[in-house]
Amino acid sequence: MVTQTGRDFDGPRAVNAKLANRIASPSVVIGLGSTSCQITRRLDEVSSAWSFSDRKSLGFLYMDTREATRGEISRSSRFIPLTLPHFSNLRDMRPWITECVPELKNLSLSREGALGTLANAGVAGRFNYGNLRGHIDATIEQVCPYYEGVTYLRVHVIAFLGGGTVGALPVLLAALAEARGTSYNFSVVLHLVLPQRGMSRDPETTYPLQLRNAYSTLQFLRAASGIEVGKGEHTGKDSYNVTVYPDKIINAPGPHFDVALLHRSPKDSLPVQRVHVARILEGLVADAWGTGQDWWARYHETMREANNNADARFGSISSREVGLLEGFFVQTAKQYLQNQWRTQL
Amino acid sequence: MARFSFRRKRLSFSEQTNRVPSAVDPLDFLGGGRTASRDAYSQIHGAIHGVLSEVERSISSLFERLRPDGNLSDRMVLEANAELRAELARANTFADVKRDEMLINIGSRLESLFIQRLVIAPDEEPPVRRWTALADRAIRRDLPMVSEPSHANLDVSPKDRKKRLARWQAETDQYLETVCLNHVGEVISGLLEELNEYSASWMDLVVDLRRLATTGGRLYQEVTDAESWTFDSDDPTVKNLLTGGQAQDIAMRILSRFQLGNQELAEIADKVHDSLAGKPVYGSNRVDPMELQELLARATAHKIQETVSIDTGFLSLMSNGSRFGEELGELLVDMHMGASAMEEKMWRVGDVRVGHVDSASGVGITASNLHDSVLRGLGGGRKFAAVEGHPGDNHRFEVQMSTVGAPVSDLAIFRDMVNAWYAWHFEDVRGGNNGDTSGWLASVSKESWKLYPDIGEETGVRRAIIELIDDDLKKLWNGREDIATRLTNGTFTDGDLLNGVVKPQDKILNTADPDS
Repeated sequence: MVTQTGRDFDGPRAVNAKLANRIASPSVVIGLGSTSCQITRRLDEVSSAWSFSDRKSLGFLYMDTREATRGEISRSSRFIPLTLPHFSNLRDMRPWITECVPELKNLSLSREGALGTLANAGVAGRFNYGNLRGHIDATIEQVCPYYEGVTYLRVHVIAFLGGGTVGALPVLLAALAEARGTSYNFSVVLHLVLPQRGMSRDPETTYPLQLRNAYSTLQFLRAASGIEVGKGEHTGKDSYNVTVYPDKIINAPGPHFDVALLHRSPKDSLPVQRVHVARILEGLVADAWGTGQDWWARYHETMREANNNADARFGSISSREVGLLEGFFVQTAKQYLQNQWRTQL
Repeated sequence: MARFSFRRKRLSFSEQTNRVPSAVDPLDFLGGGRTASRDAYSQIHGAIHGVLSEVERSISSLFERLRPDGNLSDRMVLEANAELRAELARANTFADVKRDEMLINIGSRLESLFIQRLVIAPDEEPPVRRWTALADRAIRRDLPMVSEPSHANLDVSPKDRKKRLARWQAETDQYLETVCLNHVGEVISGLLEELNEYSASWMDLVVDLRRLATTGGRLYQEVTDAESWTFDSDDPTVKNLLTGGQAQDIAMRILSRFQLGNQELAEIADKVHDSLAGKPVYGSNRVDPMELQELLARATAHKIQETVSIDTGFLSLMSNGSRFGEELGELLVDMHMGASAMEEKMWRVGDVRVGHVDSASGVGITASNLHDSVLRGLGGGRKFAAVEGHPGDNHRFEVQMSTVGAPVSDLAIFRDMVNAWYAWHFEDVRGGNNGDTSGWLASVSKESWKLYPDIGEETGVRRAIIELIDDDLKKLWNGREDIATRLTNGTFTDGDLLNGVVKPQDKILNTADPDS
């Protein structure tokens, strides 16, 4: 049996690959949480071998509740620490706090097993909203210089669904919705990394917590996409409000994302997960080359044929690889060459 | 007595101007056809001649200024001499650049030709002998002297000056033509050297390829061994549902319709050439035959993939055999039960759904009855968008050989998520199983912020999330689910559970279970 991966089909020569023009639409890649920051960093490293113009079209933004993440990424990268000042410096019971947690003091007690609850990142995201907006605008401006006339880009958001930092996702999506109101037009691709039992530090206790977080976040995304269920009393709207520091209400109109991809690691191992998701991300960011080009072409075709907006936005595309098919055609080509040489020589 | 010479006079540069061809592509004779060596020579000559024309024009203008009837100063003669030397040097530079450009082009053309012929005509001898006659013309001549007349030589009567200027111009013309011919000779020498290497490498490579492709050879084993056609991915959610034998069968059917045109051949050669990144395909430092075969296969694979159009897609190629419809239906059921089903459960709403595109590039048209078979296979009226109506009584498929089929363990994740979410409500600390409903609800309510990213009463999305989860629970409930029974050990009735979680006094959401 032949095991194939997408990378096997990259050009055989690194020099040639470096010269290839991979990116047609600029991209901003945002890592939310430690796992996602590591995946983003991996893509950052891989893309360092790309051509200058490709690198220029790529921007990276890291967000995490762990300050230590700053030390794990390159110095020049943009990092937004999702941290709060000391509680004594904050007024409790402000709306931007109580949207996530009844009282601020709850946060100090909120570690559940190995996980932080969603509220930690939710509150910190609201507190750092101004910083977040500033970095998003600056990164977009960096990859899409307005004077060059490029106004379309893609924003890839990577989030581990089982973690706590994913609690800042509503704030991040609200910030992106606000940024979309500027002169830039962009689509958002959500990369949602699913928890896996074998990768949990404690499968008996933390894994259910991860699953619970994943479920809540997925439901949030469904709600924020305007899906209507049951009596539709609270669902069916694709906009929502977020109160950010200092008590400013941000209205986040939908659609919040264009496509959501669920990622699972082929093996229960963090390095494998990192490489696997980064590789798929690499393919999708490089939309003028190889798998990414093929994928986006199919995606747009699917969207044209979509029956309704909700369907179009939801899960019609998953992050499978096309490596098997390529393997088949290479083998077929070998058969062709063998036929030619066997019969004619 | 008059003496006649039969020796052919060498034409000057200006006389050649109207004789040499000005081909758009002076090296097109390398691409095939039956161009004679004489014509090939003329084309090379024309190309070098063409780049020197500009110099010739400048020189003509220089002589124009020294017209016989005008005044002539010492300074003018000095300047004319200097300018002429500069133009002659420029002629050499232009010719050098053109020669180098042509030599590079010759190399890449011959490499392309070499690759193309390996694919379509490996049995034919390389078209090399045709050009050997060119060797006679690759002669290097010494550059003639061009005089440097002084003011005294030219400051004479108009008639004499006219004669002397004409002689000077003729010398210049001969010089230019000699420069041109010498460079033509260098191009030809380079071409012949390349051809020699081409020819020698061809003979060696053909022997290697024969060994690879015939019985027992590595390529032979690779294509005949079904195991080599069984691809798998290290991603457990990607599963190839074709056996090696089936894949071989499909490949043979694709190849029976596959033909390479000149354009495709040239593109294959370009791709291989680019992949080699400067490593030659022939010559002493040439690429290894195995590597060349691999690169050829990859480049040809792209062409085959492009050539397999909708009309000859995978499914139509596969759609023979009495049980094909049922088999495909079974495959789709497998696929539906795989990760795609999990995602659909989580993501999709509405009756009409978009097809789950996994790695669909084999879009095919096949018999109309297949639609029914597949729908039956998927169970009743479920609409599966992999099969959609298509004009012309055919049906279009967006499924291909590598469809999704996830391990059963992966399928549990959706259920696990609901279980985990649900179990949180009935943790021992909340007394969910001891019958104290009010205490339990208070506990759930107090800690519900741990579950949601946003619990704001006015702005939050908690209520919407609850409504969605409620809908999921009802669907699971109605679908003979055992979650509740397992979790509560039969302590609560169905209605208690649903109303409990979403009870009004929990200030979460008022959603009654219509079935309770």
